[in-house]
Amino acid sequence: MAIYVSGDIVPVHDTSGVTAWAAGNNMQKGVWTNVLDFGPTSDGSTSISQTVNTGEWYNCQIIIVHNDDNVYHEVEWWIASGDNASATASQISRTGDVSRINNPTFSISSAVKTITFSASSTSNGSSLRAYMLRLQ
Amino acid sequence: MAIYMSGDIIGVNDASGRTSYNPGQQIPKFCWTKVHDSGTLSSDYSVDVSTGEWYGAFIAITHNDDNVNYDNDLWFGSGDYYAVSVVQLGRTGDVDRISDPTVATSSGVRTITFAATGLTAGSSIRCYLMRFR
Repeated sequence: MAIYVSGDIVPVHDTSGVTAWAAGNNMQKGVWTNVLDFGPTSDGSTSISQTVNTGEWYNCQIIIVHNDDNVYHEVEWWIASGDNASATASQISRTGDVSRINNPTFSISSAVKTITFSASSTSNGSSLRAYMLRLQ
Repeated sequence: MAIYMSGDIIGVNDASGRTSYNPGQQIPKFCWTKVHDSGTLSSDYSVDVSTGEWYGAFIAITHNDDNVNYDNDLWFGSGDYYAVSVVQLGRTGDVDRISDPTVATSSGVRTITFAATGLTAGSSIRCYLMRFR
């Protein structure tokens, strides 16, 4: 059996089946979720820092993507794991023509993980997106 | 167009669309499938899981001990009719209890041995596989 799908896959966080994931809610398991979509910047700032409450999880993968006016680009892939009070992440791989994405950092409260996604040396037109795949 | 999804993603193994994955069955492609959940453990653990026939896959193994100690390992596996090789892409965590998975092959069917050592009461391991071929 094959299931053919098209377009963005948007995890929901309630039983209605129509509400997209929002920060502060638990993510659905086994599906990639867009947890941050920031930019493009236009205020001349040279750095980006965004804090996202990603809900409760214990094991996941994280992808962070940077694009600057479709001229500069990067992508990083991480795995992360945590408990009730802490989390660690290891970078699996990265690619791109600049190195603006900073390592993600975590703050934890009763297993709820708040992640700070950031980038430096940005210019007008920069954007930062982050995606997560929760397993546990 | 967007497709909204909710709940655990469970790979099924028949055409009804209602049967969750069972060991020994083929794993649907491109869908993360939980192939083993140890439940709560208290000592060293090893289990053999028949994951059906596959030729390329991601394998994720997670460990949690009473929500205090934790690990996450990610592997890449590929094989033919007779053998499989696996490479660890990454690992993270505060202990190192997950053992490397080993894979036995019979006519393209893979039986994976998942194991962990140094466990204390409250430990569990969960194993996930995403097959793309």
